[in-house]
Amino acid sequence: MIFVASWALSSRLYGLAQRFCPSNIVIRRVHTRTGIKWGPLIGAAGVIVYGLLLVATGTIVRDGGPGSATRRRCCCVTGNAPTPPTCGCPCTGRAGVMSAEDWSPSDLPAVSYIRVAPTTTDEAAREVERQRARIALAAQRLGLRMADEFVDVGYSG
Amino acid sequence: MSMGRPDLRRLLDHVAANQVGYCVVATRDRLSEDPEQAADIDQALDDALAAIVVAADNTGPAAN
Repeated sequence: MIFVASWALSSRLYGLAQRFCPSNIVIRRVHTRTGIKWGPLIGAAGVIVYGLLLVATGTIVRDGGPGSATRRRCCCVTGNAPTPPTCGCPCTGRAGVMSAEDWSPSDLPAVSYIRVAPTTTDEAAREVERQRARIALAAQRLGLRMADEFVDVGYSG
Repeated sequence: MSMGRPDLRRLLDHVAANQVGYCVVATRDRLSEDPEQAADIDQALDDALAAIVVAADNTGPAAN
């Protein structure tokens, strides 16, 4: 039942794609006695046009464009509808890895976590200050609003 | 998740209960040096929609 339905659906989609998709229309016209001489030119034009389209969409996505552009690029690259957890791009709006240039902090507050391994009291205090200074510098550079601090002193692991 | 660190537990409870965007640590290994435990903490923060920010990656070479 599922097989028959998917077969019928793909056949219907194939027909629609053949009838309405611009590339298919052009290819059908080229595959004629009079149109075949345009084949190499049309082929080269296709490579350029689709290449430019891919580069342009990629640029928009990299610059933080709308999610629809990301989804379109996913579809272009994979040929399938994107599945957010597995498609490897920020379809869900959260990037896995973000460079400093792409950074734009949200309004949500940030918390910090400091951990110091077991050591002498003086050394622990110095290490807490070191980590605190590093965190403060990063928060300042990234424009984060620090709210709470959590400190574990004397814990390894 | 077994962690004998009271403030880390408090932090995870805090991000789960409140809206927190980021958890900033000086270096990645401050959360945990054990990869399995680090993955658990990562997952807990991710579930709370809080992103981990590693200060060492964001302070530039002059500060290191």
